[in-house]
Amino acid sequence: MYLIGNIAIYLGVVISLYGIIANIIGMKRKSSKWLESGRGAVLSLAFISSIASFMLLYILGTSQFQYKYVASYTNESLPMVYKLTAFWAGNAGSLLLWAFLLALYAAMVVFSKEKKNPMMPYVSSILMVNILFFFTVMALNANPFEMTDRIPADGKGLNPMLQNPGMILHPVTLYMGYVGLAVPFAFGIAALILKKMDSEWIKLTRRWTLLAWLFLTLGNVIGGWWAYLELGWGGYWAWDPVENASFLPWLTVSAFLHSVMIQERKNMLKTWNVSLIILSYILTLFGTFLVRSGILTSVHAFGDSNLGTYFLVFMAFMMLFSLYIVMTRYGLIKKDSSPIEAYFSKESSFLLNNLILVAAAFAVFWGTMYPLISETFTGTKVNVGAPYFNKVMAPILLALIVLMGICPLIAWQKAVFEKFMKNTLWPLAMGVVTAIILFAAGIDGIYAVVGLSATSFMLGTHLLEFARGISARRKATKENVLKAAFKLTMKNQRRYGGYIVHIGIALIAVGVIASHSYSTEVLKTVVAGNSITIGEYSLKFNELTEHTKNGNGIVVADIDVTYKGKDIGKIKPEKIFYETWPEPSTEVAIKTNWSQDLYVVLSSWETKDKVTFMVKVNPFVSWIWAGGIIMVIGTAFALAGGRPTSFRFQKNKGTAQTGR
Amino acid sequence: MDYVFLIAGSLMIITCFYFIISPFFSASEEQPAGKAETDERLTLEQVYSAVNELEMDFLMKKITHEDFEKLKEQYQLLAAELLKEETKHKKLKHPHAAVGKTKKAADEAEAEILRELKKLRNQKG
Repeated sequence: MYLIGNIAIYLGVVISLYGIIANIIGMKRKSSKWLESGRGAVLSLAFISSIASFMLLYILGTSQFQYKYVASYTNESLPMVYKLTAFWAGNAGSLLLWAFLLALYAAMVVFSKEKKNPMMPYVSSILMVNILFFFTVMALNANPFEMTDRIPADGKGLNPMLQNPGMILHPVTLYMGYVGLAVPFAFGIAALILKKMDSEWIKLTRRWTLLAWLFLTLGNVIGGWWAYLELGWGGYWAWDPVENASFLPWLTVSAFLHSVMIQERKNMLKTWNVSLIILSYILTLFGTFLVRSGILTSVHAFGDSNLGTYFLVFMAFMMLFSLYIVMTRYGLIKKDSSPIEAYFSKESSFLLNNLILVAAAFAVFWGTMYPLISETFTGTKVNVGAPYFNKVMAPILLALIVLMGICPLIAWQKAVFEKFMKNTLWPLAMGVVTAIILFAAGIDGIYAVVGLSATSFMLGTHLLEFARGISARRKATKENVLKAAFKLTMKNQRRYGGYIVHIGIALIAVGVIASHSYSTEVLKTVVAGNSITIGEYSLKFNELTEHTKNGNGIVVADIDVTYKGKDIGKIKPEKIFYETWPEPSTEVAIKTNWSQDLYVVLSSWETKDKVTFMVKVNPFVSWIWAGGIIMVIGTAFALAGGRPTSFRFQKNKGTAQTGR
Repeated sequence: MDYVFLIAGSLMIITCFYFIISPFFSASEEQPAGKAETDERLTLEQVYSAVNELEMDFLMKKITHEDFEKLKEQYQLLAAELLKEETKHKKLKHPHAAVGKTKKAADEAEAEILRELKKLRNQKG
């Protein structure tokens, strides 16, 4: 097993190096045999990384503690599912997972129907440079198949915080998103190297980018869900450096997904698009650098300064390489790109949306890196916490929501301001009515009311777009409402998938604004038989019991809950004392209805009859998860269909450029 | 047991080796695609799709009637041009069959657009 695992790692280094050389020779000599051999190298990499991954799963599943990685992250009593998901609990396994996904994606790309595309050898080489990096780091610094000096009787076990269903999916989905971005990056660079200034690379990678964005969305939402359930502080997003690291590429890819439409339709923003995809890719490396280096304090960081250096060097190399390619082709891109024709147009509204998203990314980046920057220049580490991020991000995200309400109402062709104003009336009325209702209901907090009204305006725009689209189709085809709605959305999956995503964002916005502004909290010590009242809930503490499960000691509080005087059952927050871990873990108890969560944490106890609880009522948090699911559905819908956008007349270019 | 792993490891290396060197033993050297330009020419389908979206924008009251008519006319002219080109190609291939078709191309454009729009509305995706 040791032999096979190590052969796979070292073979990975050799083959990826060979693959790059084979592609270079193939391109120089215009030899299909060498290029075919380069493709064979990619297939070999997919093959050996699959074997290495299977081997790691096998040794984890069978608790072979002679392997350092298995002994460090698992133990005998760990449930099988967590033994297997310990694959990505540490550095070495995460690197192997990354290499495996990258090799798999690379194989899918080079054996796709575009395999004869002139860009492919470049794309394949760029992807193999990435694979080479991961295999090299594994071989030099983080080998998942490294043996222990002495075989321990049992392993150290998995960090209890990682023993949660959310942690089974969160890292994998994020990695799939990160790795997925390497594909459009490789195509973008390949197109620049070949001086192909058209939109071909964007069309070829549209699905890859969308898929990567889908996984990043899923990863971030699941990460928030995990934090809410597992960390026990009552929130879902703490602006932790590692959370920010996964949010940064999400922001820039969101911008990219919008701006590519302008390039496809109007031949504009070419430099911007290629810069955005390079930035997104670099940010995925930056995110990994933050997680691996331990330079910033985070609940998620693995903390290994050595690995951080590797990532820093690789990130710098890829950044300089990309910059060189862009700079040497800048004149060509500029020459071939069309300028923006009108201030009031779809493209300028999309550009504004892009600027806001990039500004948001910059604000998050600045806040994340400020402790390091301040330490470098002043010698003192100034920590930037949630208040900074909330203060800076709130107006940016508000502007984004307003823009999301405006953009769909502007026509692609010949936008007319008067028509736009007329179309804005109903959504605007919806926003104003929301504000009036909120004020009338005695809801205070001007910022929250403004945020909720803006979200209502945005939601109104999208509902109106669906309604108008259906009505327009009915006028043209005389179909019934259902058929018209079905055909309308199926005929333009890309647009309506996007609208569904926006509706998901509206739900998330409601959840975030409401839970930030109207959450209530009580920290109280009670004796058995006494109650805690919070909002319309009453919680009667009955008893504290103790039992063991899988060798871990579990302390459970038994609480009866009533809501508006009605019995709604029991709630049982827990503290688990792990056999192999020094700190106990908090298991939050949550009762959810459509509008609020009752969130109970067993904080501490003096005796088994005198216990301290933290109780929170978080309004609309479930809307965040529902919004996340809707976003994923919308993205999948856009991914499943979505023909390339059609061209548009351009004042300055006529019809020469097409969007095929 | 060590032998099993040794054999498995060797098989792994051999398989990778096979993937890499087998292209060198294939029969012929295919010419790689080279720096071929992608076909950026406009197609009739794209024009129909643009007209379809234009009509939807008009029906959804996002553009004015005048702009709609003007743009639609431009698209029709473009479609006519494309149809003419198509006919010319056919004429070159089949000179007898294409006689007389060129002059009708402009008239056919509008009818063709209407037909295609109907088809576009009814098709899935």
